[in-house]
Amino acid sequence: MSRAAKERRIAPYVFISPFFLIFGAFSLFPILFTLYISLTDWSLGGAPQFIGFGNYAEVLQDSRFYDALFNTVLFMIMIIPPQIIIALFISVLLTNGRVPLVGTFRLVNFLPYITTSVAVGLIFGILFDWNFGSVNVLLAKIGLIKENVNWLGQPWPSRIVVSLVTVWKYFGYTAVMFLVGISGISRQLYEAADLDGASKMQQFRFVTLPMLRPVMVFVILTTMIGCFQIFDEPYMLFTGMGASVVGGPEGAALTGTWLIYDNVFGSLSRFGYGSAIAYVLFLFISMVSFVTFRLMNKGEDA
Amino acid sequence: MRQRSLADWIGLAVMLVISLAAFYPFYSMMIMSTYESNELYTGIKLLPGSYLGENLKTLFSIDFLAFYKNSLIVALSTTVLGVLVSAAAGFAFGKYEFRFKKTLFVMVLVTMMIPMQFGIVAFVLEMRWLGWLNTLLPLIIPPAANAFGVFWMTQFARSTIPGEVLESARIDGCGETGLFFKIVLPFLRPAFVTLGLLFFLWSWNSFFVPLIVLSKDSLYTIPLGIRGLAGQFRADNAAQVLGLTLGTIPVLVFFSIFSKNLIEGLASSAVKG
Repeated sequence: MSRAAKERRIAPYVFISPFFLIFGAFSLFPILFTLYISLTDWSLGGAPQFIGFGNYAEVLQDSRFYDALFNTVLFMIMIIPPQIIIALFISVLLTNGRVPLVGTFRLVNFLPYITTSVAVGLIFGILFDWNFGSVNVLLAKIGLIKENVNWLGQPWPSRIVVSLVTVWKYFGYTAVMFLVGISGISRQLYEAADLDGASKMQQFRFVTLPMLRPVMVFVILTTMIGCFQIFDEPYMLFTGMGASVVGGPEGAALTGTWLIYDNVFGSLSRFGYGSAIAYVLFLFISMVSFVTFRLMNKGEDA
Repeated sequence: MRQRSLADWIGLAVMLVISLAAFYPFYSMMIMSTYESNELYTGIKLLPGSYLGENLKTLFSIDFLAFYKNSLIVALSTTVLGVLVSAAAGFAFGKYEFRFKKTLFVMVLVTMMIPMQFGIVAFVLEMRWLGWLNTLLPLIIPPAANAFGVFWMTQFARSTIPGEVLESARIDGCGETGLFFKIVLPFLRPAFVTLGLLFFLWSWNSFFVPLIVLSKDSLYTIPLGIRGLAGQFRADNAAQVLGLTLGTIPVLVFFSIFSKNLIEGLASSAVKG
């Protein structure tokens, strides 16, 4: 074999190697090694003691773990539907050619996504302040509430705020995904639908939505996984405001990531236990994602 | 222009409401940075206050410029490195046939779905063994391997680089490395802008990993640094908001200039399920 041909044969491996080296060293290795750590009793300074599934047994009896799991599922329910509906609305309006200033609207709706999450947590903390926050002032002015709502001091209002903040921050990004999907749909499909006398609503229902299915599956899966990761904004909302409360009032905003953080880097430094939590959550999320994926693709094959 | 129907007006109205809801907190951020902290908790503010100068003074009483510099170093390095790593892998997946290509590519797709938080405990221990704790390296190197970046560059390389151009360069005696730097990179340039913006944004705004690996003030990035602004009774929120506003401006400028590229760039690669 000539030198050039040989070079050409190994070239692709050389080109993918930086990615796989970095990925292997800093993503794959930690995930696998976390499995080992989860089987040990290991805290700061000490040596790891192999204890088998002891940590897992403890996780399954930890009420805070169930809080985190419960909150994650709640957040999925409270965040995914509004986020998708708003994003769909925006992306359809931005592509149907009936709305002026498309560029401006596109940028404005993307602003939340570019704002640092720490800023987002801080600002919403101020806007939702119990006594003088804009939200309570506004709601009182239009007569929707008689007494100020203690948004960040009670479990359910806290969850509402965290969901609102998350939807606010990510709907623009989701809309871009849908924009990408919509711009990939062939014009001919709409022309054909037009000829058949389909109304705009029918076109949305029978052309746009079915064609967006792959993007929709992607968006729903990534958002579900994202719900497990919610951390920055509530961390700022509930610890940046003076009182340091892990997980918000009564742990109402405690998420998987926050629970791991608290067990390993926060009030405790239990590496083994934190790793076990990570793995149980990992299993849980994988299962939920898999089931969702199957359910969403079922209608397609039928 | 065509007459607008009732449905169009309703659509426009909804669009305005959503955009207002998107804009108001962002606008508040900028306005809040011109008030005294106590004034932030006295109802709705729509016009700028007069405390900007004082907040600036407070902000620069901590080492805000150093935080800014750290954020810049981290974000720019990750962006350059990440774009190159993604481009190289994307070129290989998009333009070569090789063994295990399918399997490896599926691996990339699967990893897009796995959050790094699952491995965070081992990641931090690894950083300690490498002596990378309290350095900027954990914020620069690991994020450079981004599965989305590879996926996206693969799509882009496959659809924009003509095979004939590569072949004729090879016939002219160009080696594979030369091919990548002289021919492939220029073709991928439009994709660099889009992907670069995303890399920059993700890095610039990251909080979780810096929070865990950095414990030295002098290395803090902006989101970490501004936590140090404690007032007498509570954190000096107004000065913090000012710091974050100043931190948002460069990203805002980039995105205003390139937002058209970003969305069209993403659109041109059309996500395939």
